[in-house]
Amino acid sequence: MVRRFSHLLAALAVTFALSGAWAQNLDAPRGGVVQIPLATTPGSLMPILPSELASAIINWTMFSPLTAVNPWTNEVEPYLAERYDANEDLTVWTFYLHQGVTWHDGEPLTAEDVKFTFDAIRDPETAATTAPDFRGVVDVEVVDTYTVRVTLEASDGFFADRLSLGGNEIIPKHILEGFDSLYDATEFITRAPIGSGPFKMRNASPGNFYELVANEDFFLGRPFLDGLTFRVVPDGNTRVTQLLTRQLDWVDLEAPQLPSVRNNPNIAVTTFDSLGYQLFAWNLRNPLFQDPRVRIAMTHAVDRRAMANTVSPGLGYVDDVFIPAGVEWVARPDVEYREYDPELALQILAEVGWTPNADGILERDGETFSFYILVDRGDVQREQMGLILQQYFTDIGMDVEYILAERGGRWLEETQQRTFDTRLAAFPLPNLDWAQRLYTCNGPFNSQSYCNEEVDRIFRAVLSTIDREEQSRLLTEVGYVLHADPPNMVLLWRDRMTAHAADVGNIPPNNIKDSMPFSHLLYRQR
Amino acid sequence: MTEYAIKQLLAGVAVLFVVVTATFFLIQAAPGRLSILADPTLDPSVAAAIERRLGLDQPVAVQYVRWMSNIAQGDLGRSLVFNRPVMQMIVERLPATLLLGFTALLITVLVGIPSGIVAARWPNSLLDQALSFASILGLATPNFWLGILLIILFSVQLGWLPGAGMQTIGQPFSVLDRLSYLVLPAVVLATSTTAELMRYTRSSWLEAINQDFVRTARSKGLVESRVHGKHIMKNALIPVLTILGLTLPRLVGGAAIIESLFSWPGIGSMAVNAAIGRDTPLILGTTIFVAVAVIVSNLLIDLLYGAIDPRIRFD
Repeated sequence: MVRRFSHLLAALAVTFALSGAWAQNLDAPRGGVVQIPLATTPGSLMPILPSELASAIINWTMFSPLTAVNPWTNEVEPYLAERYDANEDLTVWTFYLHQGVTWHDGEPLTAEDVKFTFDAIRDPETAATTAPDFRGVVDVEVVDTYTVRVTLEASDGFFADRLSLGGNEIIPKHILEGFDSLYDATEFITRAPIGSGPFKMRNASPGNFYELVANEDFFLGRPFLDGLTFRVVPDGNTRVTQLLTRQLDWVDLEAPQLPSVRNNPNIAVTTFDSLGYQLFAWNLRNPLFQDPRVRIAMTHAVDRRAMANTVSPGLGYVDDVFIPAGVEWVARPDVEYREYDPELALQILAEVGWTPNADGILERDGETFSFYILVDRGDVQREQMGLILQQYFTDIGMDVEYILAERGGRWLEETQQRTFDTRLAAFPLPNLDWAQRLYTCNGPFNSQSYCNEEVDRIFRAVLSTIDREEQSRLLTEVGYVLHADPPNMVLLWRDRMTAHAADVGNIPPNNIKDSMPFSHLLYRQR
Repeated sequence: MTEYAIKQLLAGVAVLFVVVTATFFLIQAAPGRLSILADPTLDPSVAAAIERRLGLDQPVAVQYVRWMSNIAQGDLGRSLVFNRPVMQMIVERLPATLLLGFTALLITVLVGIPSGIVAARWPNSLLDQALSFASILGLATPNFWLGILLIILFSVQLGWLPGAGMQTIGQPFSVLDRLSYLVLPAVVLATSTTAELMRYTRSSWLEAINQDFVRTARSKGLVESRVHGKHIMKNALIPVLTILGLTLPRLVGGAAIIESLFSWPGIGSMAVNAAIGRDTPLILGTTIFVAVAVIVSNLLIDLLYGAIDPRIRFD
């Protein structure tokens, strides 16, 4: 028996979203250009090659993935695949492509291109950042011109979801198969990419700007805009200035920049849940933190709401649920928020054996409660929160050192080698598959070495179903287990903001990068 | 003179070797990794594959020897982030940097030298004091701050000039359009160098005024304009040349902060990006370019001394 799901055409899915709070105008005027900033020159205009944020942003507009996250609903939807299904045990996934899709050079896009792309990602020589997502792939088979079948070695209910993340967009076989290495396709990578997305490259001036024009033959319909222009603007404040002077139309906004644009009638600000959170992580290899009661006590020792109001006033929330509130299809576990209560913290620590010595420092069997907080330099909020946390922990008798380190240096090294005591970090949850990467014993992002057999069991169950209701029930169950045995301390579910020219429409409640797969819906008021 | 030039060039090569070697090992010693490897969610196997492909898995000494042997063959290597030849990237960015640098230099010379002469011609006058005050202000004002102020005033408030970029995208090239983008960054870039040059010109001029040959010229009955225009100028401008020689590579080598602030697509902003992204070949490539600019401009100034002042001989 074959399970079928997500049969909606992407365009129809958009229509459904009309009924939501973030309705889109599908009868928008045509014409105009929207100018968008890139903080750096894109490293690669070939989406599957390793690169950085700027590449991800621009590549979303020129290439098409099989599935995409709708930035209005945060739901995964079919995109280049008109629909897809999986067998009973979720080991064989079949994708049915839109027919009649063409590359920007007019050649037809077929299942051969999908196979070429997936095989390239799986090739270790490519060093694709999404290669781990394909680790369980046994075979990619072209069934017919518009059908491709992927066989996995184990059940994976999130396989189609993962394809929606950046770096899995389909690349053209007819252009790239002649190169010994994809890295040899220099013109494609730097100036002249050929994709199948809503916009195509007209003029690339690396380091300066990229001028894209509407793809008249885009399979989800011609974009409302005539074009997109990406300007390389390294400085964040200059980006806001350019928004004010109409050289840019849409920028991701940091909280300190809000006053510059708030009262400007020509600019609209959108606030949204970032689907990621700031966290305080314990290294659970360290015996100091292995007892969950110690972690719970430390959570009670911090007035997290006061801290959030200090570092991010009015922009975010704190709770003890490890699933973002923005993912509405998962029922939130009814767990109690751990209020600031230093007396209770000390009481719990005393139960575990930690009591103040003559100097007021917590001590057990001659060992003092000493550790350091590792903070990555550059994120002002985390730098502030690290200092505040140090004070709260010192107040209850812990001996705490605050270490501010380069993100790409000691912070990254200790994170990857799992040698830190505690650290501050931000963790994105672009989809709930990422939760299992963070919280399961062998999860690739589980740098805190958290391991709870019950959590692993539930996540295995989550991966073996594609029934959203069942997944929701299981994820709620995970929420209860994680609350009882916390993997880290939630510091802030930070709200994010974008600001855009008021005459640009269909701006999703999302950051620029994650909005780009639906850039064909952007429009400009006449 | 030829022998001197050859000696200086050889010394320049030695300087270049020291500069790039020091830069290479400083980059290795600095914290941080190549930007595409600095993602904590990057799978270790992917990171290893990237390092293998780029040769970053080799010992530092091996990387250094390989890089230096490429340099000896005139190959600056490929950018680790952009996978493009560094030389090509520098050449692409050079026109923008030269345009900005030489415009700023033009402003510096056209404003700095005349105002220095005017100040020296009437020392301690109201005009001299006003110019001195302006020059101190120009030297003391951080250029990134001045840039932000000018952007707010002329772009945001008045809307007279574009605040960033190099051209209006989507429109055909026009000189007027290019000038409108050039004005603000060039003025900001030239502010401190103009102030510097003005002060040096003034003091050099004042020093020359009190020399014996000026007294002799005046005693011969020469008119004051001829004394200043012929006798003083030739002597006073020699020290000024030194300052120009030091300024030239600063302007041509890319004004990193100004280019970044105004999103000017030159070598300076590329160097900043390369440093942030830990793109070693690109950092080294831009370092070599700037070092060569310094060496060549110093040599040119040395040779010009001889041409201007016959007392200076190289043999």
